[in-house]
Amino acid sequence: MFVQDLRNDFYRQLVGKRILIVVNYDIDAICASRILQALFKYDHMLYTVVPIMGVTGLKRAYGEHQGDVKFVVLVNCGGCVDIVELLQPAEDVTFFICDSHRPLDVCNIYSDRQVCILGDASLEENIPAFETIFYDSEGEEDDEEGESSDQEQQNNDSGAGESDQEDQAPRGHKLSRLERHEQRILKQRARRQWESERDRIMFEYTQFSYYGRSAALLVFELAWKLSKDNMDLLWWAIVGITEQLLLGKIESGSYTLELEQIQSHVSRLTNKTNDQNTMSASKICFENDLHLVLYRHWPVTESMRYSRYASCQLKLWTLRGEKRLHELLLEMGLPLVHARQTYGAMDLVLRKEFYSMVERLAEKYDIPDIVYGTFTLSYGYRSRYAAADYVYALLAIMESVKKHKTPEDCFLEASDALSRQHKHLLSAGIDQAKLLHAAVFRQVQSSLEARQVHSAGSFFYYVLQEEHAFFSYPYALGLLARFLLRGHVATSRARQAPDLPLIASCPLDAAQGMCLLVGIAPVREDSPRNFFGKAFEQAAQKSGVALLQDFFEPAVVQLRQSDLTRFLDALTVLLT
Amino acid sequence: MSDVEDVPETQLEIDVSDGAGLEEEDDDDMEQITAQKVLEILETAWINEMCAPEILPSQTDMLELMVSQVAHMEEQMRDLDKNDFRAVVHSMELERVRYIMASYLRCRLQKIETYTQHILNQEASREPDDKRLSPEETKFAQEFAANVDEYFHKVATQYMPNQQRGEAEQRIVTPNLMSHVFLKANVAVPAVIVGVDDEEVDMAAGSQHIIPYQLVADLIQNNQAQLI
Amino acid sequence: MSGQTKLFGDKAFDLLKELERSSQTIPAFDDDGVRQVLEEIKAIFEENVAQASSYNASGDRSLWPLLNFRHAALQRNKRCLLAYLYERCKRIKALRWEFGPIIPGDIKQSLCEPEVHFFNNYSKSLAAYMCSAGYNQGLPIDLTNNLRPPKSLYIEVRCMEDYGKFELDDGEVIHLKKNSQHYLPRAQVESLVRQGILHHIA
Repeated sequence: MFVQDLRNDFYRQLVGKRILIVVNYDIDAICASRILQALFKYDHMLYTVVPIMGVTGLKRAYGEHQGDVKFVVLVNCGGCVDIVELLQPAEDVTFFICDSHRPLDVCNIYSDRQVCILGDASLEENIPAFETIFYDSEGEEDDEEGESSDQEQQNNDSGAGESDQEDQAPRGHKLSRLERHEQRILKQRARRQWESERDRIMFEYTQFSYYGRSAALLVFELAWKLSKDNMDLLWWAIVGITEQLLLGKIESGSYTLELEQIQSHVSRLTNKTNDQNTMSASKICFENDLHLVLYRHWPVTESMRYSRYASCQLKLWTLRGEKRLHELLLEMGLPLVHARQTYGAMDLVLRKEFYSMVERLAEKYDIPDIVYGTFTLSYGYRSRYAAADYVYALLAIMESVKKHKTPEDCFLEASDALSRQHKHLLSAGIDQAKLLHAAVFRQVQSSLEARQVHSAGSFFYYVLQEEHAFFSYPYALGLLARFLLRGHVATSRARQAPDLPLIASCPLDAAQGMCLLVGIAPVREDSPRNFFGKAFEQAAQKSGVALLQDFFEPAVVQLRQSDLTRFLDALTVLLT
Repeated sequence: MSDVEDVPETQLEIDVSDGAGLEEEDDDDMEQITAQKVLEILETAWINEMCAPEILPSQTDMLELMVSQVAHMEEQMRDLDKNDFRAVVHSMELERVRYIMASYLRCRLQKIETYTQHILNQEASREPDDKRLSPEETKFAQEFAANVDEYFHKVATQYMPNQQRGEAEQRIVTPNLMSHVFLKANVAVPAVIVGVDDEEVDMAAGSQHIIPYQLVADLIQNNQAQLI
Repeated sequence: MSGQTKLFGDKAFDLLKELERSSQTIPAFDDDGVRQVLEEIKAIFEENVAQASSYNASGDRSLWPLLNFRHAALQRNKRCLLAYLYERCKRIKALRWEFGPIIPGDIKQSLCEPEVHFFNNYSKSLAAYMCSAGYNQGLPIDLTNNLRPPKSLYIEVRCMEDYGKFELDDGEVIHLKKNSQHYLPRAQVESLVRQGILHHIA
């Protein structure tokens, strides 16, 4: 069931109740949950927040915390699985799902009470109609009737059948045996036809996995409707949607549309705050910015090199690319001395002109898409962060799992880093992000030089042989894979290269022999659609490989290292 | 110090909620004194206690009143809806009152623990009406003194040579009464002697001073001035 | 005595320094050190007694400064020793406020037997006091609660270790599990925060 009026049908229902918030491991979810928590705090509602990773995590968390909680909010998780089936909740428990993963599970959509999906049904694409996928109960009975005529006979004799059955039964007697047989076959045929039709529809529906609106933005709009929005909440919503942009979860078209909306929120909130402490208060500005990772916190050359887009367009891992970069800097009038020191230490004049210089030369150097609209947050006299900086820093924090630092610790740290009081966490995150991006670049460079990206005809694959401090985690592996695919396409001469997807794999845990597999959509594809989820599932069925599709991202799976070759073979067959 | 800084805020809130929550109590509670007055007295006592180097007379009566008042309000709160806005304000208020009481008692205990022997000696020399400790506090102080002595004895003093044991008198810790305090005069107090050379100062009502405690101890006891 | 490399009172002073410098809540009771100081006191005292009697007998004034010096050393030893004990006393009292009437096992190991006894007595008289502080209402005031001025009714806490079920006043049962985050009434979880099971997120 979709809940469209969040204020009345979602929030009002919850006021004064105890709530369990289950949050997935992604930045959008963290932002959304922070906004929700702020709302609940205003109304003195008791809540419990539990971070989870994957379906098993969801199940365990619910089992542990259910207690007598009657309302559960799932943030960026659970939309794509049949919640009632999975968790077996008590009758009076209600689930509110705020999930940007698509497609939503049809059982959740057509649940009449227990499962409420926050969002607008009209925005959802081609949800199969109820009749086409659920056989109504009447049909079921007919079916039974056809399957065992003996039972039907018994029912008639005892007269205990239901009314419609009784209506039919006498007629059935009048028909000759042959006719009845025919009828049954017809019915079965119709049923079979319906079933295959249903399978087709379901396949079409679930074939691609993609993403809907950012959960953080959705929740922020609720806050707005409740008149409880403020700068912080808005910023978190912006970080949420920026994550979607940076990880390719949103089409650039819809991003632009959302930008306009957010801009109106920004100007409204900016005007609302009184002028007293404008200098020290936090301020959000809309501006065109550059797709360069963390360039405000890094030397320009580094940032250029480690940014996926710029690096791949200029092929910065080659010697020629390096020359081209110098050429660009020269034409920009940016002395190398300045380009090589941290952006913050650059000459003020150069800093002010940096954006316009890059923009001016973007066309010439074939990097037109480097400009995009985004928001920056400034507070106090020094700190100024782009939304993307936050996203990269949080990503790095989330994947900074170490021996003594569990994934949950990382999650909570990332969540802390969002609030302004914990600036040191954020700057530590930014430093970590730098390391991560440098590592990604080096890996791409060496892999491309060694030609480790192989083609399997209909897709590329790339296999890391050893456990890696960075790439054994889904987001980092995803970043690597996307960089690698772009880089490979940029260097490859094959004409169809931009249309081919990439599968990257990295060993997870040497002891258990598991590895992580990530599927990345082709470069030319702009929409966030990804068919790997379904494809992985089918390939696993065909090859008999045990696949662990535990993550809520369907295109990220785990499997045994030893099964990898067999699995890739099956996938090759499937996709050709 | 930070505790004290919270006071103005607390007081403000109290004025707001008293109008709503406590006024019904006024009739059946006490002859003249209102719950708000009790709270005011307690607050002053609390601040004085926090700032004064020595222990001040205990406000047993006021505390007793307040405790029953709090219990009563809690009773009433139970009928209120948990999500009512008033409920939130009231329970916050209760929390504050409870904190003041606890902090007040804690502060006294701390002084008792530090200056145990000194306070006990002084108490022994005071008239029954003039006692500064409540009976409970006296009991606590005596127990505490005995307890410390026992501990010292068990671990150390019993092993010491005879003559060295009996000097318990040397161990008495006395508060420094000449330490400076901040003070606000409630009423005009003429001719307060300050300093050793009999210098005199007139304190205007509401004026603030910094002055050694001992010189103004009696003003505080008479409620002519209060510490801040 | 001339054979000793250490000066009078060094040992006693060491005791204090150790205590002052230790970063633990309370370091282990230095049984050995205390004994040594006591022995030193005794030794000094005996020498003094012996020489004092010879001084009395002979009236040799040259012994006078020595006697005085020894006496001062003895006093100093005693003072240091008692200061050591008193400081420990203070820390033990703090334990009661921090952890409640039961000492955590690991801390208990660093206390000596009279100290445990002291703690129990202290705990008892404090409890008795808190009970009587409720006056005729029969409601004990828990002074160990409300340690900080209340800023809000509810606080956001993060669970640092698996604690298990926790029941609130209104009967809600909350499962406190490591790494979960909760929003709970401050008054009811304050003790858990102090024990380090919950962490208050500012």
